[in-house]
Amino acid sequence: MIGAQLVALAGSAAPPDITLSIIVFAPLLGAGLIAFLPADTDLQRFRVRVTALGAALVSFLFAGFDLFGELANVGQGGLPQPEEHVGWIPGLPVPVSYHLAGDGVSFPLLFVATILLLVLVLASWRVRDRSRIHFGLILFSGVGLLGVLAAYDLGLLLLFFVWPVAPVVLLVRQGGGPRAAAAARRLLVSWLLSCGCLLAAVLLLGLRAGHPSLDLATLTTVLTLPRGVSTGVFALVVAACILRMGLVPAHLPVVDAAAGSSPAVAMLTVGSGLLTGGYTLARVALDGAPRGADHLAAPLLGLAVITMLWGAFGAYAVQELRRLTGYVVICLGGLVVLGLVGYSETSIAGALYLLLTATLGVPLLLLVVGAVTERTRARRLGELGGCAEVAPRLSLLWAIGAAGVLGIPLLAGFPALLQVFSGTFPAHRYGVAVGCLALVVLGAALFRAGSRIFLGPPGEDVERLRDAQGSELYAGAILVAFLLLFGLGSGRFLPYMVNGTDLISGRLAAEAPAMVAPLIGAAGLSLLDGQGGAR
Amino acid sequence: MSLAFLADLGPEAVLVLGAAAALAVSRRRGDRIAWEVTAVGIAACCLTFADSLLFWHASLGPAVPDIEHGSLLVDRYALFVEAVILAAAVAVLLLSGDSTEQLRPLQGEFTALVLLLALGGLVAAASQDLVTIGVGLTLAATASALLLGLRKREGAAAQAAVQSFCLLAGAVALFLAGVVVLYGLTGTTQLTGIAARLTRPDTAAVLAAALLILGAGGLLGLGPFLGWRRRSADPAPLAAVLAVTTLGGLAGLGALVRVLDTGFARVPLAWTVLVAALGAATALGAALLALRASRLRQLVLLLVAGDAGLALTALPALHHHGAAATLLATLVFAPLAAGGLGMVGWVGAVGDRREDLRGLWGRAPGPCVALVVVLAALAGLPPLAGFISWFQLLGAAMAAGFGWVTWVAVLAATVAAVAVLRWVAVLLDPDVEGPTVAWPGPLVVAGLGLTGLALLLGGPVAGPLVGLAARAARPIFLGF
Repeated sequence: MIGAQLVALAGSAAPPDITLSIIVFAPLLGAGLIAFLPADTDLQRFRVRVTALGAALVSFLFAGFDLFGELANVGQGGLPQPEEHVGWIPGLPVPVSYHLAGDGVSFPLLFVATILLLVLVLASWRVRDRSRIHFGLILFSGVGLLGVLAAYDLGLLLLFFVWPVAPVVLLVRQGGGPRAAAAARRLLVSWLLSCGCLLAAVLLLGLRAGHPSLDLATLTTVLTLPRGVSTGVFALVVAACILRMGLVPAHLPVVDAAAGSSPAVAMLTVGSGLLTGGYTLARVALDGAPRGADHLAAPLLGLAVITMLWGAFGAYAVQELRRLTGYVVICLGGLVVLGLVGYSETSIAGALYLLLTATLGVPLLLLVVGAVTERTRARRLGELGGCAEVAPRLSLLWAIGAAGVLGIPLLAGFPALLQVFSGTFPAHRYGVAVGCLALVVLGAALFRAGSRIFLGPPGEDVERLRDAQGSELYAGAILVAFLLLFGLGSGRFLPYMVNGTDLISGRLAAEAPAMVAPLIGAAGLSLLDGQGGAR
Repeated sequence: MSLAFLADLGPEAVLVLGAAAALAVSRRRGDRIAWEVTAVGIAACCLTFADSLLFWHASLGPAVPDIEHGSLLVDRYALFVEAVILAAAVAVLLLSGDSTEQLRPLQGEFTALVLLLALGGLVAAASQDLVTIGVGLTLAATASALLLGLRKREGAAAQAAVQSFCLLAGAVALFLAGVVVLYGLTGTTQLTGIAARLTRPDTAAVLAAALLILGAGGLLGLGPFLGWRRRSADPAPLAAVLAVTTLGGLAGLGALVRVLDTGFARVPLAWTVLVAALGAATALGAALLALRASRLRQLVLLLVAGDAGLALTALPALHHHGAAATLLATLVFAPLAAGGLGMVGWVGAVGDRREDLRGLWGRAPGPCVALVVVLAALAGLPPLAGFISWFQLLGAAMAAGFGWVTWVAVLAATVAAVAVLRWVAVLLDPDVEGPTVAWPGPLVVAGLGLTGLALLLGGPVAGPLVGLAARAARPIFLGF
């Protein structure tokens, strides 16, 4: 889009739009540059950091510019625009094309992923030991994260889905000690199995669809899979996403990784797991195999219910601070699945918006928890107290992060959860009730943790605590700013997303009318029906 | 009598002359003998390739085979395999450029044997007669055994070489026994004749297929030969292991594709399950053994054997897409094997045990990055060439109705990735003192650069490579 505008200004013919390629591959360029930079002195390490920041900024600025351009017309949410499409591997049993596109389903998530990448670089600013490996791996894994969200061909999506496994595991392993090694091992096996499940689903989809293409545009608009194949594909994708997002019963690798690694690495692990898993569930499972979605709605709802409750009560029961954030992620993952299993445009848009919220809110919690535990060396709730006196900015960041994920008005979580609950209610009212209960328990857990850390009499180690400042503060401020932006500006973002999810729910309605038809009337519950209907 | 067919044997003749020239040059005295011998070997490969270019125009037409004299068959498939084998031979010669000390005073013999090994592969791929294919495999097996026995004065090396010779001779004997059974069944050793007469998958056909598969698979280190591949590698010079693994593997793959997809196309029940099971079992077995590998050389060899096993899993897809996926894997196999063992030669200069390489990143970041890239490609991690090849292979296997192969292969790839990432974690270990890695000589740099470029670009520019493989696979199924 930017490229096209520049050439339009120059008055010549429009070139191919490569904005998405720039967004996805700018971090790879940064990682490549970093590999060749020396990092022996402070100045050289500063250059490494600035290079990483520059690469992340390029992606962020391009994605932001394009997204806000698209928001000018919310109807664009239903169209894959911007788009790049060239042949890549033609002719073989599973031909793959280089097809990148951004629509209402993926583009806001892509933008949030670029924010996460930016925040990761800032949160890692104080890394001095082996900074080249650290920043290089973060940028390298960022390519996979961004690529999954931009890919419009299942072969390409699979490639990007596998991409971050090795760098993220290596980053977790870099944490040092037996705990990090064990966490890395578990995460590796879990994520590799998720890749295997997705691979099998993609091959099944590509080979049994009766059309030699893995292009999502073809698969989701032209072809209808037989019921058995569709169910198989759906089950495999759900399995892949359970493993990637860390849903029950595959939650321990994510909790361990969040507990055993540095804040930035924990942010990357949970952020990339949630984003790639949740998005793949919506895009491939619901959009690619709607008949399977019809068949497996009840098990998926059960999974959502168990995961929400497990995450919420786990967060309440756990005493270790870092593991608490891991359980928050699990609970949010369950809520995302609840929104997706609502199968209405409203609930799916809400689920995606919740993904976006979690990608901003959970890293904020992890940032605060990391700062507190690293500086005070206290890991358990009972060992802390009175931190607000010495670290008011950290306590504010914690409060905003918790409020964001709990759906307090003005922040991004509010419209997200409202959409999830209102969109899912007509189909699964008991599921929504359980979701509300889980949210209440999660709120209690976060409130209890916050009050133990920041309020009350000061603990023994509190004098070692420093308040957030410098890059850490900037990272927190960016997350807060975007939590607010997506909260206050949901009237702009959600209609754009609903236009994208409308196609998914429409396909679900076409393939499984008995299940989805009652939900159509519920669309009136959407906060944004008026704006959404303007398309 | 027309002697035109002699022109068709030009590429083979050039390789034989190159081997003789390498031996002649090595008999001279001087400091630059190693360079000169390597240059002769590379020149022979380049000339052979140039000679084969003459066939390209003819092979582009619709009528296949284009050139056929007795058992010689120069079609697109033969030209494809020939180009891959010659490129691999050049890579092997370049990557063994620093092995002068190990090979002294047998540099000429080494180069000659590498060229003869390549010749064996060429003959096996460019033949429509099972006896000639057997001759090609015998040539490759003999050259392999001799290469592994280059350190004939060292007890362990000589013992391993004798063992290799026996095993490879046994593999060739199995292949020839398969040929005999097939001749008894069909009355011919011509692949097209066999394909026309072999229409029922009876016990004899299954036995013949099994013997042929095991025979050609011996050079690949498949199944029962996996242990041999591991054991023979330790005492032999790395340059010899590099040549045997890369060129021997290509010769075996080239022969298997030709024999099975052409000769047995009408009786898939006789062999498809066996090939898929053997390939999947090799991949899984190699991956599990790789988990326990304590030396880099072993790790790389096992990963290469696993990749060779995976390459076979697409063969049961009896369509030119399946063969194309196998050929793409063949194309990727060459830089994987050569690059992997080339990196062992470079980085292993400081010791190739896990403890020797602990913290390599801190001491030598450049070699460490190169090693990580090669290991990632061997494990099939994206976005490298190995991943693209792996994806297509599994697609072809699933298209052939072998969904279980996909699951086994996914498990094998998961285990291989775990093995590789454990090594990568060791390489990135902080604050470990040790020797730095010196830069290799210019020949090795060139070899590593070429193989590394192939692995890196094999992913992003996979389209043209797939096109080449698909074109090469087409004549195999012509007429069926």
